Amino acid sequence: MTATITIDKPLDEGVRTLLRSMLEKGTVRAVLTLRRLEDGGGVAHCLVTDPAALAEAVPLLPVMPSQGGQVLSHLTQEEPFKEPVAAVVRPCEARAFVELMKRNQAFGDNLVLISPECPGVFPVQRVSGDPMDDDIDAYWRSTSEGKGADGLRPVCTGCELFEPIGVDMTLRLVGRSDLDKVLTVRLDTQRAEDMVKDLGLGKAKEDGKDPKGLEALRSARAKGRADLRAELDFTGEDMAEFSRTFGKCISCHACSKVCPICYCQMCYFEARAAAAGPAWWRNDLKRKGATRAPPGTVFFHVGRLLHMSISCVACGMCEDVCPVDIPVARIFKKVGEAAQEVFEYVPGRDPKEEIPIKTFVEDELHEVER
Amino acid sequence: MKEGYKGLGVLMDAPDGPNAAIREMLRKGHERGACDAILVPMKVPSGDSYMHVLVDDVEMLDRAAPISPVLTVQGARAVTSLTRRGDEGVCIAAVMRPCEAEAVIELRKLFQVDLEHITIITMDSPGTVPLQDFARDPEEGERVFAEALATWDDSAMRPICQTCEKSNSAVGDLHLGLRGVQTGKVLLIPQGEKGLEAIAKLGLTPDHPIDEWKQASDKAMARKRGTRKANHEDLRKRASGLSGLLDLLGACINCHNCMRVCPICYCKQCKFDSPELRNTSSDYLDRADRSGSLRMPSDMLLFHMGRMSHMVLSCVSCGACEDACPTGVPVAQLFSLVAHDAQERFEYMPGRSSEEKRPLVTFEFEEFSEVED
Amino acid sequence: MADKKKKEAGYEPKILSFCCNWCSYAGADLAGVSRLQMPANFRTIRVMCSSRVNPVYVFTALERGADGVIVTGCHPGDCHYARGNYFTRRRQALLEKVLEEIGFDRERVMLRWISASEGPEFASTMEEFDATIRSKGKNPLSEEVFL
Ligand code: SF4
Ligand code: SF4
Ligand code: SF4
Ligand code: SF4
Ligand code: SF4
Ligand code: FES
Repeated sequence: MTATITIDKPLDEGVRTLLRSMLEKGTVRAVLTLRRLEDGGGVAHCLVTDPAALAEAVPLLPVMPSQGGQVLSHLTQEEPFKEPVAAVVRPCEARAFVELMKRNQAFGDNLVLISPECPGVFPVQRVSGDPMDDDIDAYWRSTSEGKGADGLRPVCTGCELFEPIGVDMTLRLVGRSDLDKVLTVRLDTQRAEDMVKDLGLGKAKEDGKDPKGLEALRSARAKGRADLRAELDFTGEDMAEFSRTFGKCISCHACSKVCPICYCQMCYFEARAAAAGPAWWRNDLKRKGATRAPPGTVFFHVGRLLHMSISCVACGMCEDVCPVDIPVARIFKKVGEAAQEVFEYVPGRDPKEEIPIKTFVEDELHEVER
Repeated sequence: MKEGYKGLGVLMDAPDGPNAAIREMLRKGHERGACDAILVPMKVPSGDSYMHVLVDDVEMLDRAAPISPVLTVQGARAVTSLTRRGDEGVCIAAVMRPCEAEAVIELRKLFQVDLEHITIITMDSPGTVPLQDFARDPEEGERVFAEALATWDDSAMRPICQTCEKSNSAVGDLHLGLRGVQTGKVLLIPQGEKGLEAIAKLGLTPDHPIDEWKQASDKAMARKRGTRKANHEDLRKRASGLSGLLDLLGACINCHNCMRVCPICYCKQCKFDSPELRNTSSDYLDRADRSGSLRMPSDMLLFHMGRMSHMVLSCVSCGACEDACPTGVPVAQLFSLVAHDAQERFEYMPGRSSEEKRPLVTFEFEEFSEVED
Repeated sequence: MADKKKKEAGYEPKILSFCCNWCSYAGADLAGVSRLQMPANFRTIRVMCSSRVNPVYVFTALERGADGVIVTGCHPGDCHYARGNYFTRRRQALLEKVLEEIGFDRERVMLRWISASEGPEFASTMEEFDATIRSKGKNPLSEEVFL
C-alpha cells in the first residue's frame, strides 16, 4: 500500500513546484536537478540552494549530460550530507549510486531520491545545437501512450528497469493520459510521506491501478532488449568480431571516464599502458611482425568488462561520448547482463546486497571446477 | 629550417598516387637498413578507420595509408607510447602529418619521447575529415578526402585544418612535397643530417630544385593565414568576456576528453582530475550558496583555463581535442586562437626545433618590461 | 593478423599455470621429484593463494600470446586463508562468462583444485590441458595486430 500525491502542474513545472516547496519550507537543504545554465544554453546537473534558481530547472529534460550517480558520488564521497538533500535522478542513475555506495565511493545518508518512470533520454549531443522542443512534444505524447519515443539512446530502447527501485519518490509518468495537466508522485518511503505532509501539496491518497500504458511500455522494452541483444553477435572462438568492433577505438577512455562505475582515480589500464616499455612492442614485433601504437586498445575494453561489467547499470553514458560511434553501452549491457545472470545479481537493486565477486556461497558454480 | 636543406630534393615517380609511392619508399628504406621498423597509419581490419601501426614485416605495408583521411590517435601519442621509456636502439621511421610531428618535438622537450633513433617523415597535408563525420560515414569520408587530396580544396576538411599555416611545413627529417609538384610525382625533401643520411641509404641524390613546390606552398599558406586571421577575429569577438567564453563552452559536459586525447597533455594524473579539486559535501553546499546553484561536475571553466595555462604555449593546433569532444565544443579553435597569440608574444613556434627551449623554462634579462608594474 | 593465421606443424603450445603456494605448487613439486611424465611447455607463476589471480591477469597472458592459462588452488574448504578459493571460483565464473560473450574460446582457461599430496593429479592435469590446447592450435590473439 503506497500513497500518492497529485500536483496540479504537469511535468517539469510539477517537479519544480515540488522541489521549490521542499526548499522553501526547509524540508531539504538543497536539491540536485538538471538545470539550464545562464550562459551558453547548456544543461547540467546543478546543486541548487536558492529556490529562485529553480526557475531554470528542467528535471525531466530527456538528456543526461553526466551520470547523476557519479555526480552524487562526487558530492558525498568524503562525507555524507548532514542535512536532507533531494536529488532528481533517473532510475539507472539511482542504481549506479547504489553500486558506488557498495564500493565506498558515496554516502546515501540524508539523500532523498526522486526518480521518474523513465521514458528514456536523447543522446547527449542534443544538449547543444538543435533545440529539442519539437521532439519533446512527441516524446511526452509517446510516454502518455506507453510507447517508446523516437531518437532515444539505443540502450534506453532495451531498458527493462525503467521503473525506479529503492527511491523515496517515484514520478509516475508512463501511460498517463493526464500527463499534460498534473504530476502524480508516489511516496515510496515513510520519510517521503513525512516530508510531503507539511508541504501543502494536497493530501496523500491511496495509489491507483497501474495504467495500461505502463504494461505496454514494459513489453516494448522487453522486445527492445531482445532486439539489442540479437543485433550484436560476437560468437566465435577467436574474438574476431569483438576486436573488429573496437578496431577504430582511439583509446581516449572517455567511455570509462563518464562511466559511474569506473570511479578509480588512476585506472589500472592507463597506469599499465604508461608503464609499458620497449620490451612490450619488441615482443609483439617479433611475434606478429607489427603492433598497434599505443598498444592495448582491445585489452582495455576486455579488462574494463572484467572489472566492472558486473555492476554496469546500462545507462548509456559511455556510448554517448564515444567519438567514433562504437556501440559501447550496448556491448557492456549485453556482456554485463550475462555476467550478472550467473550470480542472479541486479546492480543497484539493493544497497545491502554484496557485489557478487566480494562474496560467495560454498556450494555453487561447480561447472567451472573442471 | 634545419641545416642540410640546400634547396634540392628528389623527384620520385608516383604513377599510382602518393600513398603507393610512399609505401614503396618505406619498403625500400626498410630493406636497405635505413630503419628497423616503420610507424605508419594503417587501415583497421573493419576498414572504417586508420590507426598508427609499428611495422617490421614489410608485407603488411600494403595496408598502410601514409596520407590517411582522418586523424584518430594523434601520432605523437603513438610515438610517446613506444619511446617514453627508451627505444633500445631500434630505428623507427615515423610517418605523420606536420602537426603530429610538431607535437613529437614538443614532447621531446618534455622528456616524453626519445628521438635519437627516430626519423620523422612528414608530408603536405590536405587536412583531415572531422573524426565524427568519418565515423558516421566512412565511405563518404574517403570520397571527400580523396577529392581534397586531388584538388587541395580544404573546405570540407576540419575547421582547424582550413586555418593551418603549417600544413606544408617540413618539420621532420624527410618531407614529402605534393603541392605544386607535377602529377604522378612526389618531391622528397631531406632536412638535417638524419634526412640526408636516410636519402643516402635509399640510394637517392637530391638533385631537383624545390622552388616550384616552395612557391605553391607559400601561396597556399598565405591563403590559409588569411582564413585564420578572419576566423580568429570572429572567434575573438565571440569569446570575449566571461559570458562570451561560457557561451562558447556552453555544450561542455566537463568530461575532459579534450585533455585526454591532446598530445601535449601527457600527464598521467591531470591536476584537474585529481582529488585536489574534490570537495566535501559541506564545501559543495557552501559553494552552491554563493550563487544559489552550483554546476556539477564542478570547475568546468577552471579546467579549460587551467589546461590552457599549462600547455597552450606548446599547442600545435592539431585539432585532436575538438575531434574527440562528444558535444561539438570548438575547443581546438579556441585553444589555437590563444596559442597563436601567446606564442607570438614569445616568438615561439612549437615543434620548430627540438633545440629551442620552451618559453617558460627560459628567460632573458631584458624583456616584458610592460608586465612589470 | 587474422588472415595470416595458420596451424603450424610442430606447434608447441605456450601454457601458463598459476599455482597456489600451499597446495598445487607443492603438488607440482611432488610430481617433479617423483619424476612423473609431464609436458615441458608450461611455465608456472607461484601465488600465495589462487584468489590472488585477478581475471585481468589471465586475459593479459592470453593477449600477450599464451595459448592456455590454468589456475590451480587448494580444494574447497582447504584454502590456507580459509575462503580464498571460493572467491577464485566466482572470478573464474565471471571470466569464463565474459570470454564466452566476447567470442573467445573459454576452454583455453581452466580452474582445477589440486592439493599438495596430489602429484600424479598435477601431472595428469597438465597432460590433459596440454592435449586440449594442442588440439585447438595457436591462440588466434597471438598473431592479431589490431589489439
Ligand atoms: S577499467 Fe577498471 S581500473 Fe579502470 S577505471 Fe574502470 S574499474 Fe577502474
Ligand atoms: S559501462 Fe556504460 S552503460 Fe555501463 S554503467 Fe558504465 S557508462 Fe553506463
Ligand atoms: S570512448 Fe570510444 S574511442 Fe574512446 S576509448 Fe571508449 S570506445 Fe574507444
Ligand atoms: S589543445 Fe587541442 S589543438 Fe592544441 S595540441 Fe592539444 S589536442 Fe592539439
Ligand atoms: S570541451 Fe568537449 S571534450 Fe572537453 S571537457 Fe568539454 S565536453 Fe569534454
Ligand atoms: S591458499 Fe591455496 S587456494 Fe587459497
